[in-house]
Amino acid sequence: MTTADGSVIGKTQIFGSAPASHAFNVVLLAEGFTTAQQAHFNTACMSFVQAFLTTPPYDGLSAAINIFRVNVRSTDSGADDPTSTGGTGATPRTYFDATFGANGIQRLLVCDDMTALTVATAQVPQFSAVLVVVNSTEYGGSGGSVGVYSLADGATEIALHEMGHTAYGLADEYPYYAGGVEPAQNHFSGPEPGEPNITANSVRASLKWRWAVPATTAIPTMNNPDCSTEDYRPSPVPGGTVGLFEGAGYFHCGAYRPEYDCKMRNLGVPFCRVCRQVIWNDIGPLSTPGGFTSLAPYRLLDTRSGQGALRGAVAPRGTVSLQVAGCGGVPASGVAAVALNVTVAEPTASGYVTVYGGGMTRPTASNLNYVAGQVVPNLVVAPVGAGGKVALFNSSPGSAQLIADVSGYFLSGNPTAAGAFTSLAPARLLDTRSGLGAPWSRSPRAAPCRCR
Amino acid sequence: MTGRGKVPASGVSAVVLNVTVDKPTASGYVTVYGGGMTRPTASNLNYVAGQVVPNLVVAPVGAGGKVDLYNGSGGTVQLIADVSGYFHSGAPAVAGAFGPLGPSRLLDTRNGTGAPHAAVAAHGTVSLQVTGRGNVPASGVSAVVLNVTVAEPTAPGYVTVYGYGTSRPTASNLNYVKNQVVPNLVVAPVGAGGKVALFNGSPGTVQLIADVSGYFRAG
Repeated sequence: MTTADGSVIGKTQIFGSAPASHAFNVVLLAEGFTTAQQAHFNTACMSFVQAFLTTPPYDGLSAAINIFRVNVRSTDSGADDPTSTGGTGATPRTYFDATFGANGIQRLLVCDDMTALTVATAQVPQFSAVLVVVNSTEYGGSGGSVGVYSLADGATEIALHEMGHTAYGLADEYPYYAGGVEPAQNHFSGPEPGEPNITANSVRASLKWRWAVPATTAIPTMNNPDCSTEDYRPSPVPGGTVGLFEGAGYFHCGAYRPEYDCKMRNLGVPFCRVCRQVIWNDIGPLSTPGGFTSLAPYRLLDTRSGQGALRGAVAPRGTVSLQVAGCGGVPASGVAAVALNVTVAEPTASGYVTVYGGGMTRPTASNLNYVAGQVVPNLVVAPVGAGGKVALFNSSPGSAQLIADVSGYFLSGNPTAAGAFTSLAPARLLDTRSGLGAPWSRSPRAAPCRCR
Repeated sequence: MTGRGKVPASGVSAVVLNVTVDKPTASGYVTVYGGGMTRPTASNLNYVAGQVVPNLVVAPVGAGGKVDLYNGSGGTVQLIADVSGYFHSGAPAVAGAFGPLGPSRLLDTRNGTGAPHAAVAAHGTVSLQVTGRGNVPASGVSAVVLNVTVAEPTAPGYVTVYGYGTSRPTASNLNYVKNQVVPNLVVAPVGAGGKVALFNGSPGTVQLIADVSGYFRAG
């Protein structure tokens, strides 16, 4: 029932080649495997690797993922299974002392977290997430400071779900606790949950995943008509639509989830858009410095409506400071540049717009040109400056409305990989009006081309 | 272009340039392509006499680290180019890496390239196959860089480009008035079946043209 009931054999890296200091490092620990059963543990680990690396968004992040298994010998096989919650009463001698039936719930499988963390730290000091693999075919799992899962049918799905808790602080999105009739779970009350994938807030404008909600999707998208039970009706919107669905975080009503379904609600289904983004935000910055992540276009700025800035036209020679990091699916940190489609509308005089990194010196460069009354868009790859901001300068003696839609971002770091992007403060390379970079078009002999 | 404005002298596959035309004396277009390469059937900017028009360009870097800018006009034009970044050369292998291309024309509704030979209907959507065409890989692509141009619009409107099969977002990529020719660069997420959707937000019809100049790798 303690570490006296076994011993640590050693670690083996079973996937990945990223430097441990710059990767998401998963550690799998063997629990309830005897010496003779270590090969069984090794096989289970490979099943996990296969499932993990084919599950979005992990499938796009494998360059930044390492997976280690730590073989640990237990004296006996399996896990404790108390009769009080309907178990067999087994009490095998195992290294991490795993047991079913925690909190009176049979499926809640826990272990000695401190021992698991101690072993993980000793074997893989830079671990990102620890999963304890329990040698039992009975269904169970949990996700606290370490994730725990058994080898029941769909074991790897349990593992992926529990790692959602352990590594990313994702909440359970299912609307019950123990199941059955449980009046205490009818109505959520209390402050806004801290987890990124459940909410008690049903106001579109302040919804924490509002960036992922199409304007055409109703908020709430589904209300539970009977709070004494969970809502079993089918979704009114196509699968994958992000909205606001009542029933989440163990409550039938008053708590909401982002999509109809998600791996944090049911096993065997994909992670929802919001959970995928949370995971990507965590691992993405580790993946490829200079790598690009595509986003569904999202309107970050619209001075006509007050989105992203004060409502009202930008003043003559005025600058808008636009927060981009942490908005519209752009991670809160680790972003070098964003792809923005910037549109000017209702300009009252001719002018141009210069887009540059927040807090940086405004360069001699321009992105849009317009005359009075014109609507003109242009794509901009804008460096992200201090505080995750982008500055938009209106050069005109008149005012102008500005709109900006984000469609992707480039990760910061030191870009070295083939195809990686290095963001630069805008700089003028060519201006045939002044002869910069090319001959004066009207006096070709005036300046030779200095392009190398 | 390489060796200038903090762009390294070597190891660069493509640069991100904001190209502006000024003082054109006649209508025309500009094509930007790799120095020393064959000029493709593609365009980056369109203008009429006297107009100042910019557009972002992701330009492959050709021989000697150069980019060629071609003035497809009967008149003269002033050209300005501002650099805002570059891509490292080599075969893109990791997630998020960029592969520069051509450019090459994937869509032209005026002649039936990539879609039916007809103007796009009012509030109509074109679904454009992008993977497996124009040297875009058949799979493992998260987004493509398209220069999208509207021509012959019969009424004012806008175009929204988004991943096929996903919800059309509250966002726009091009804005135009009647009879204008307007291009804009778009980084478009690739949706179901390797397709991109282009929505015509106008009560009139419009011709759509799209030239691909690169792609980003998925994981």
